[in-house]
Amino acid sequence: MAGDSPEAIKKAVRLYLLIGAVLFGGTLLTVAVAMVPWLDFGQHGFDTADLCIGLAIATVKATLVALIFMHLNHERRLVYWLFGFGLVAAFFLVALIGLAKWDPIHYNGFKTGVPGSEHVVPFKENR
Amino acid sequence: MSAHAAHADHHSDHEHGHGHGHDDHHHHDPGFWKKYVFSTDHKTIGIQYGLTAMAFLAFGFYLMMVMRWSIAYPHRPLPEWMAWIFTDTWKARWLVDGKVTGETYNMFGAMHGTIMVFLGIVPLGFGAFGNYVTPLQIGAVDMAFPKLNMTSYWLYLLGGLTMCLSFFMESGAAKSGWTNYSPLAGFADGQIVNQWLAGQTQWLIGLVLLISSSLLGSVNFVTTIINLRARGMTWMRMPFFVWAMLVTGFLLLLAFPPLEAAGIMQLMDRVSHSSFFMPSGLFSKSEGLADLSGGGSPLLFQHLFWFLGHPEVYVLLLPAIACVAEIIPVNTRRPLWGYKAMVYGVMTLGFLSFIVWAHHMYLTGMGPVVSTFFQTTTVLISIPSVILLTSMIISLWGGSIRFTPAMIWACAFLPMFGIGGLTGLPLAFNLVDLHLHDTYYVIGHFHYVVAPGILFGLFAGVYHWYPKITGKHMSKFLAHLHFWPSLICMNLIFFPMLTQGMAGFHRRWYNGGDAYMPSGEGSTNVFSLIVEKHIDLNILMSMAAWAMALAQLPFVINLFGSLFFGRKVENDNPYDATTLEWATPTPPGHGNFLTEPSVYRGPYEYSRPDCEDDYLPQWEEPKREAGAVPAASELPGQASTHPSAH
Amino acid sequence: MEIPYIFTPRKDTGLVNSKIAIWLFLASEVMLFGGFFSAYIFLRLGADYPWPERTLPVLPGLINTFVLIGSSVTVIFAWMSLKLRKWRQFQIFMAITVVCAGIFMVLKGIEYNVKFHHQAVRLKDYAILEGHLGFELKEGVHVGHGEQPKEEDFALNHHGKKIEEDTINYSTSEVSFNTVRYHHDWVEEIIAHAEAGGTAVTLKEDVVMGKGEQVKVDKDGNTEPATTPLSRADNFAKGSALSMKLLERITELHKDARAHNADLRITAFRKAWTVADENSSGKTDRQLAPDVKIDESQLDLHHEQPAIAFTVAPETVFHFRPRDIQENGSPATLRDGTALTGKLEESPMVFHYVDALDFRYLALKVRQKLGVDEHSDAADGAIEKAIEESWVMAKNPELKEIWEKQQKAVGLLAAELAAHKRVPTEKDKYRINWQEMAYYATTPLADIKIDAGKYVMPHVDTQPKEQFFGPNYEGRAEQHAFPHLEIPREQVAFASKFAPAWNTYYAIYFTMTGLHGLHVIGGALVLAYYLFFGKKMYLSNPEWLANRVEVGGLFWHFVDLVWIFLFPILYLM
Repeated sequence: MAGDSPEAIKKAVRLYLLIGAVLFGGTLLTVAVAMVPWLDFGQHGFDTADLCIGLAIATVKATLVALIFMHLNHERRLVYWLFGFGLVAAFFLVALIGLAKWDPIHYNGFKTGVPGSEHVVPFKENR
Repeated sequence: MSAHAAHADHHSDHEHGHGHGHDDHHHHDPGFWKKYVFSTDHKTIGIQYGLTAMAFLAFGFYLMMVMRWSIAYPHRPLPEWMAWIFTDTWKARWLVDGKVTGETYNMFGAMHGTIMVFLGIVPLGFGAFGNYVTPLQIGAVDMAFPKLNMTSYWLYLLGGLTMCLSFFMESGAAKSGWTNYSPLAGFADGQIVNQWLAGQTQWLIGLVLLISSSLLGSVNFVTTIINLRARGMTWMRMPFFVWAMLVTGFLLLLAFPPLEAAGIMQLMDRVSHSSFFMPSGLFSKSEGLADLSGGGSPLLFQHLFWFLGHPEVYVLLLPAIACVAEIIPVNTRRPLWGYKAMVYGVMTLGFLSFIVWAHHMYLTGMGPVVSTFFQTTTVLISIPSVILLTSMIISLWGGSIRFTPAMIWACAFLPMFGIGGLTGLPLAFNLVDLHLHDTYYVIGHFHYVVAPGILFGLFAGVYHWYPKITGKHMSKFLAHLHFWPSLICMNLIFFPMLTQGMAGFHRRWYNGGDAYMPSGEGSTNVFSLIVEKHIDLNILMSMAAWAMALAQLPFVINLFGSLFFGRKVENDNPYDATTLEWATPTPPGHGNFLTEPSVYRGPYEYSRPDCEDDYLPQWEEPKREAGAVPAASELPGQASTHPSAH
Repeated sequence: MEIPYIFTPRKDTGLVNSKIAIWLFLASEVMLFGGFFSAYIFLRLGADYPWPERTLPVLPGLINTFVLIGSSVTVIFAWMSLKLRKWRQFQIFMAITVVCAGIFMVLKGIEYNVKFHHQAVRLKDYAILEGHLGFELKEGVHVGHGEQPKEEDFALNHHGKKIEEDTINYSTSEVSFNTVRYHHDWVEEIIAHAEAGGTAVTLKEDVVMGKGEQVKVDKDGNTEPATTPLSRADNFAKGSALSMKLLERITELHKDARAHNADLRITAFRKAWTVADENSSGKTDRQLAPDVKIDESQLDLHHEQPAIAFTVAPETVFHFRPRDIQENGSPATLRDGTALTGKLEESPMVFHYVDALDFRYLALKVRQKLGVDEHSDAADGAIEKAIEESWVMAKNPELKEIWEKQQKAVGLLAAELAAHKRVPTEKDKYRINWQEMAYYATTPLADIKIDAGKYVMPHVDTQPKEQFFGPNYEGRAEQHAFPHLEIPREQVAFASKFAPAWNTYYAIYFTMTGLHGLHVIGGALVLAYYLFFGKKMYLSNPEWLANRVEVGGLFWHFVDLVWIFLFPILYLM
């Protein structure tokens, strides 16, 4: 922390407290969207709107923590690269697994034919 | 030759001149335990990794020898020369009348794969060579985190022992393939009540320890390479070895954690009866309908496993390529051809290796879109591999080749890895893989890459750096006695596998296909007829495998015998090489370099037209003559922080 | 010899070693939790049962989120204090951080504990019941309806612990142990149980092991003195009492015999093959194999005893955990290979309090059978019918009454929602959670009503303590809020506590929060180390300590980051 004048320190402290408050608020907002019925943007109960809003708020909070609390906003570029590889790899992990799940072979349901098991693999037609 | 002699004098100055100055920094002797057992010195740790890895490789080799008996002679009891090592209690539990049972074969097969990959090749390539050579080649005093380095080794040893000690338990070691797929591997072992004592569970615990070891190691490597390079060692002046280790470090860092996640989940499945990977309706003969909630997915395990599994094979490969890429320039007296292309190639290889994994899963019911994606990336990844291989082959062209043992192994690596790589190409295609998946073709392919490929590259590394590590030369005669039978046997073992596989021979058949042999004369079952034509190859392959064992004896004798009887090295740089590890005393002491090295040029300055000698070391100060390389280092004004700087 | 760039950054990269290392480590941690998040997505999308949405109480998770965010702020302030060389201030902020970590783990511990004691069961018709199991009472003790048994009324097992009313009761006349695999603890239990009940468990027949000088072992386990040296031979008399010593001795002799026999047989087979090779005339191994035999009478084989049978007199009822016994076969078998001959007795699963009823899985199965999509209401009638015919409704008037009240409430809610073009959710229609159960149990049918404008099913208020510790069963028992229920064993398809075994949701929940919790503990330990032992480093090289604390703080922020995602995903979705 070069240039630690009292004003700079005060500013930094204020910034951290502000971000902390934003994080608190974001949490409350996420809970409200989830639990309070008249904030149901989609339909009554859980649906994709809740999911998108919740994840979006979480992403914003995470970015704030990373950039400001973890000092990424004034860190060397090399660090961006190092951490960035991890994020990119994680993205591919999640995305490609999702892709594999989204695109399976289609086949008719089958009975396992085992006594006592009633498990029938359903044939989903809603593609 | 006079310039050569001058260099020799220069080196001998180093040997005798500043020794005392070096000792001033050490007032105490660390004692036997801290020096040789719990050492934080990367060189000692490298040797520890190397010896431990070789011991595990030998163990894994032995397992394979027993497997090959079962494949070649499925009806016969194990012969005494193979079975003497087992106790009677063990034989009573695992061999029926001396014959290898299916359960035992599976156990040996799973552990052979695990030991060779996780406990053998990776620790030898990355742990041993990486640890020993990398700091030397970048001019550092040690790794960035020596204590972490030591922890890394001990976690590896602990993990390896955990996995292997389960052989002696009643439930045996892991038996579900080195790939450890659920539901088979996740199902609680029916033989014992306390699942923590099951070999499968021990395998998972060992794996968690190994992954932790890997993680610490990779953080160490990448930090060291980024931050501890010597003055003047810019990125493009690093030897290719270091680039390969950097990429390997990243692969280990980012690819292992999903397997750790999968391992933890499978562990939960085994001991807490969760159903991460257990589908609904699982039925077993002993229990009936499984007492599990179901709802899980075996495919999830496969995705997470192969997300590591594919980068893992590049983790196996890159250290071997690294060794070969160092050995070729030294022994051809030419620069490495296409250094820049190789550097960009290896970085591309690293990136692409993360997005090809599902080519191991073509038969799991993936649809055309995702299959095509993975097929495309898999075919693409062959390009950087080919760039690496071709560059090294072209590096031989026009060279003044010295057929040292290291060079012979390195030259053998090239075509053997070539065959391995080329046989992999058909497997990249979804359609072809439908036929070849889980056949001996796959076994032939990956063994060609790893056994006559990677292992030959690592042997080359041992022969190459042995003089620097020990100060003695290895015996050339024994080296040839090791090499030629190994080369012949490797091909005799693995080439027939390719034909067997294409014919339809399956993997993991404990009786070598015997169960599918035609039962009588005039059988028209196509499968049986195919097996009949190829089953006799098994005997030839097994004989070659056992002969391979004999061929390794000269190596063991050479490795330890040369310590006492080997010819002493004539100077610190017996090969007249250019990279920084040859600027150290022999063997390098604590702190490696007597004075902090500075780097003035690239790593492969051989046969420069403007130079009298056929090599110009990286650390040699440029002569202030017309046309010489500018003397300024790349980092003007940087104060040296090396402790030996006075 | 010192490693460079530990305190001062390198000029071209501008970084110290530890900074690079921590960011690399965090990248790998992203991959670790990324692996788990992709597992979560995979499991949720692929679930073949209704995914439990919003079933966890939110308050503990919410407080934990605030606690972690707060600790993230204080850890930065701790670091800033170090940079400003204010030691006391550093100590205060770091102490707050570590205390926050402690609060987090305590709340987490409470959450886990409550779940691990909460029971769930899925019946054969896919109805799901949740609640608390009763404990076995002593013989002859009866407790009136609505009254609570006193502590001394409970029966205790030989460990001194209460026995949950979820055991398989097997009346046993004969028990046969697998010599190699028997589980030490279970044998001890049988011995102790028999002793307490005055039952005799004795060897069914003579067991003669080994060859050579016979040494008799009498009923009490005493060996008669030998006149000649022992040569590994024991003769156990019929009627000898079961003891660990007896079993262990037989096991030892059996394993020796097995090894001895294996050695002889292997040698004999090798010889037989050598002979077969000499006479083979070009036949393959495969053709030769059926004819290669050994003559066992020529070998000095020792007797092996793979199973040891004991008589149980008189026939006694032993209790086993459902997971440990396969009671439907004859004989019944335990997981360690022990075989029990006898009769399965009534083994109901007794819920002292039923606090939730869930028919969503049943509804899913009905829809699947009819081929109806999950979003359409075409099968609603069939689902209603299936519920009415389920065992819970058909055999339990108390629960049927509660269900009828719930149906009325659903109707009221549907009417209210219809004005906003919404419909009640699956959860509203088919799941009765504990607050709703308590409401229905204590409210007559005629008084069932919906709070206007709230759009939720009617329920009792959750007391603050109940947010953390679950429903106050004893307190609410006075109003008979939670019914008592005995479920016959044949109706039980799958039962478990709310643990990873219950379903994949709880599996991933416990695994992810557990791993995260381990990271909290690890991070807190590192920070605590600097708090308590950092003074020395501070005095010698404060910048070094500041670096270390910064690195620790970065890890701490990452832990907070992961929780920021975990909380909404696991608690709110």
